[in-house]
Amino acid sequence: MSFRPAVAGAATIVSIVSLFLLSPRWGGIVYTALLIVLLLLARRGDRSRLGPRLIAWTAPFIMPLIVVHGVLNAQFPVTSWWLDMIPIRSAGLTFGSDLAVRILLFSVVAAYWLSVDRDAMVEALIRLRLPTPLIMLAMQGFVMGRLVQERIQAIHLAQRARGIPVSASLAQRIASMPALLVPVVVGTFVEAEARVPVLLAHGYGRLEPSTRSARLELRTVILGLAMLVCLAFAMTVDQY
Amino acid sequence: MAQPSSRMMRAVVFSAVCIALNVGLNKVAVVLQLPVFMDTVGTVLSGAMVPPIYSILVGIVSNLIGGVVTHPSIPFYIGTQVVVSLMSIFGYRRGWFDTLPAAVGLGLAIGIVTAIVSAPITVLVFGGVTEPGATALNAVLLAAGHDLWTSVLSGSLVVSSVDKVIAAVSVWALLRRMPERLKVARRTAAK
Repeated sequence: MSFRPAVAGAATIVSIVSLFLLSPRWGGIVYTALLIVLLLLARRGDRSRLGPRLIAWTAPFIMPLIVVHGVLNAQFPVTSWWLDMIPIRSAGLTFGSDLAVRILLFSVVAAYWLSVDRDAMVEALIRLRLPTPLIMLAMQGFVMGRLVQERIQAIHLAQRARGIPVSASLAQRIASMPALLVPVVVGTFVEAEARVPVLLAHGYGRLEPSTRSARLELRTVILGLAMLVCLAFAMTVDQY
Repeated sequence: MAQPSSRMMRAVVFSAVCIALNVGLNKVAVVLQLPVFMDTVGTVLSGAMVPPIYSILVGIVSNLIGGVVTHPSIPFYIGTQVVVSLMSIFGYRRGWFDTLPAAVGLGLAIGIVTAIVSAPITVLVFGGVTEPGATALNAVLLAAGHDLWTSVLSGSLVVSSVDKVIAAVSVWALLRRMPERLKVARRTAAK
């Protein structure tokens, strides 16, 4: 079951506060772990595959952080040698792992936003009385992003089938980017231009807030309170 | 609420296409493990296609959406997108997308400025780790004995320059091949 924007907003605010109140170790680790547990519990049973996504977001940062600061960064002194060849810098390892925890926390907060129901998000933006073009731009951009991505992949496959070296060496791949882009972009702009009168005729751009009252759901309140409890528990852990 | 004008709707729809380009291409670059970001083609293009305020919004909204769709580190670079947008608007008004050498020069200038703007975020928030190509370069420079700031700035200068030159050249190629009907729409929309 997806979240209301208020849940993701609460996760963002509480997590920003946690960056100031908690040490990266152990308070930060405990808070991040609890936030993950809360996310997975609240979204259990759905097929959003948030766990693998969190790993995919965080893993590319963890290894480089450990290697860059624990081995390469000469600003940290060498404390030991591994196999008499590779320098190990304890302070660098600590620094790198602290940053990795912070990046994991950013990923968890992004996962909360990813779990927000899109219609509820539009409704919340309208209630905030943001300019209509801004709301439309964000929503249209979100929807069209996937469309463009699919088109690029389709054209990539088609061009490869026709012998254009889009999957060859790095230099060739980069050089082939304009050839890949032009059909996608021109096609999308032509379509977008043709869509303008249709959108106007259908009354798009006149966003009115729903007449339903914006009362907080019980689930949203419980999740918000649970986040505060997570923060309080992590602060307690930090003190010991 | 007032009925939106055709011009406003066109600006919104064109901006949405530019956002989609930023998000879509960045995701493709991540999936194909290209050593470049490809997340500013839409922003550079928006400098020529939509009014300035929309162009700036394209940069900001792209990074907010990218933070959820592609990677949570992306929203931290919103300032970089705003700089790209401002430089693209300026470049378009000066006619720097009219010829290939001028577009390459503009791409290079955007690359240098954005590297300087992004380096503090890469160092302070992400400890020097960013997209794989730049991270590898940073690691080599660190191993050679340079400090983190020098390594990140040097790595970013190389990767960002290549990335932004590709973006500017792509936009130059796109603007040349736009259908006549869209060129008229572009001239009115970018005012």
